[in-house]
Amino acid sequence: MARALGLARIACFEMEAGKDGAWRWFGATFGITGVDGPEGRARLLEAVFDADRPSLWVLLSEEGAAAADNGLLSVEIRILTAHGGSLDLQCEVTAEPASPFGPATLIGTIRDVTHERRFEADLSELVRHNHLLLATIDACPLSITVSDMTRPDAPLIYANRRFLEITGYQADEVIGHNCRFLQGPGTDRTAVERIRGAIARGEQTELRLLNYTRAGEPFLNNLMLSPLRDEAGALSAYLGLQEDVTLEAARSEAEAQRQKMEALGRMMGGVAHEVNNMLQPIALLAQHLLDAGLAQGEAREHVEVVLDCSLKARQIIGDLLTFSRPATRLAQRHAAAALMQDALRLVRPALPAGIALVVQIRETLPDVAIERTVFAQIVLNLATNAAAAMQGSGRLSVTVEPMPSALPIEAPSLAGGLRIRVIDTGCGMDRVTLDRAFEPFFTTKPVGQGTGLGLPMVYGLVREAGGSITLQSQPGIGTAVTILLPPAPPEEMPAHGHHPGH
Amino acid sequence: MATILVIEDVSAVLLSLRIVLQGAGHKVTGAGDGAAGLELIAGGGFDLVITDIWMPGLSGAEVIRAGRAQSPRTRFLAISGGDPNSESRPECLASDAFGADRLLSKPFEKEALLREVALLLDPAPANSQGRTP
Repeated sequence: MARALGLARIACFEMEAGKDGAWRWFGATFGITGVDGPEGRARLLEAVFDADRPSLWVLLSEEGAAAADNGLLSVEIRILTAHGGSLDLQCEVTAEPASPFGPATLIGTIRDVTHERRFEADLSELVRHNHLLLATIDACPLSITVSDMTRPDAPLIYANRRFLEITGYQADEVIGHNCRFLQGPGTDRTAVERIRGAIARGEQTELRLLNYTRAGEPFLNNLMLSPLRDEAGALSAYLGLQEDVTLEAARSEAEAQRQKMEALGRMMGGVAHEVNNMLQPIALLAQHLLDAGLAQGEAREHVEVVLDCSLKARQIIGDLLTFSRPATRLAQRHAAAALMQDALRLVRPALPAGIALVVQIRETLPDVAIERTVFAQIVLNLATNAAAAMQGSGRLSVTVEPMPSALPIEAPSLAGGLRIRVIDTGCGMDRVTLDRAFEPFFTTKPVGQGTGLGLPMVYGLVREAGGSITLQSQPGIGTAVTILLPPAPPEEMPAHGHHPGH
Repeated sequence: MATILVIEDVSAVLLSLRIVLQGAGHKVTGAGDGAAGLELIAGGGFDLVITDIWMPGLSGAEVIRAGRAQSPRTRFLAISGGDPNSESRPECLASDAFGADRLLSKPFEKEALLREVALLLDPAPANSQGRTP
């Protein structure tokens, strides 16, 4: 019987009331030497952790016996083992009142609950760990979602904080819905088809597509979808990782554009040098023929045409070089509003009557360092292009304002500068045209109506002034040109144009 | 009437300059590259040297530097169609006009050439500095 108890890691004890009452112990000893001997009570108390001793002491004392009269008393104690480990023991006592057969007696059982306690501790560690994991996922700077593939229409069952930040939705607006609510008019349908295909095949996929926030703002989403499978290998969910790469994509596009223009510029330099040399004898000798009277009558007329063509060719080469020439020349500090007013004086007469010019110039503007004629050339070129795109009627709006501080910009030097926007209601450009718009000799105008050097020149002039230029366009709706110019460096150049009539 | 040396590697350009300058009454000597030009300058006697900048071998800028040392009283007019290896106009590349007294961008008109030549041969010192616009 005692052995059976020992195997079950249970002990029973009896203690007669009184300080020197008899002690009897059966069953497991839990490695406590002498606990089953006459001094067993003292040995037990010695083995208990200091922290637990008082409660065991109370239990095995007169008060314990008194309290136990009212039923079962229970404490948990820890003891040190011989190997330096510890055991969790549950100790329960009950009291037997004095009777004709003997004094009042405490009867107790002690059971080893170490395994139960360890299991519970592990479990709570696991729960705590999972909580931590969830909090980490929630705080992750990458947007994370989980779609339940076992339910119809694969609703979202999880979306972390970053997802809600990027999209502007509340959690209860997205959970339970298929994530196609992110799509909008500009979303590439082929990208959506690719997503569908990958999901149907249960594959992982990564792609970029245009999505929309709750407020309808488009953003470029770098989306990675990864299937989650249950133990049997069946598709249970899709993990979605999203990243807003709008700014990054704009930057790399601008960089690619810059590199293309640089390569073109270098090529133009080589061509210009050769052509300029070849034009030289044409210009000088043709003039000589005329001046020396060596060409008469019809011949004279022909030589005049030759001379005229050589001068026009020189102009074309000059314009060509303008688009890519680097470094600022003599740029003076000017008040932006005065610059624009001067430029618009040239623009107005150049616009057909059917085009309404709407000008908005903010009162407080940073000064800019740019040649007055260069600025006028930029505005005039853009206005002429816009007028051509509107084919005689429409609205041309020109706004000049301080650069919004929240605007993401390519270069820190542009911060605190000027933003100029020229927006037309013309025919607009498709993607292919837009990509090539700054290329020299790329023109959509009929042959003879444009050299294709207008926008390349503007590009060159803006870059020369340290600024940037971007185009947004939608076919049939219009084109918006945005020019950012850096603020003039502080107080080195004298200000011009601050006063009316200057 | 002045004695002018034209250094230019493109023979058609050299020919046209020679004809125009001779037509204006100047005595013109030609050289097809920088080394030949420098040799002639060392011989002395030139009021004005008109030199191309980007030439195979010795560049115009080097010719001007060495030529000034050999012949301090000679004036120098640089002519250039732009750097074949860069996208820049000549006037953007050299704020010092490659060391020349004046710089003309090719292609220039006959009138512009004769105006520059006259300016450089004019003894009035007020007109001896600066660049073409």
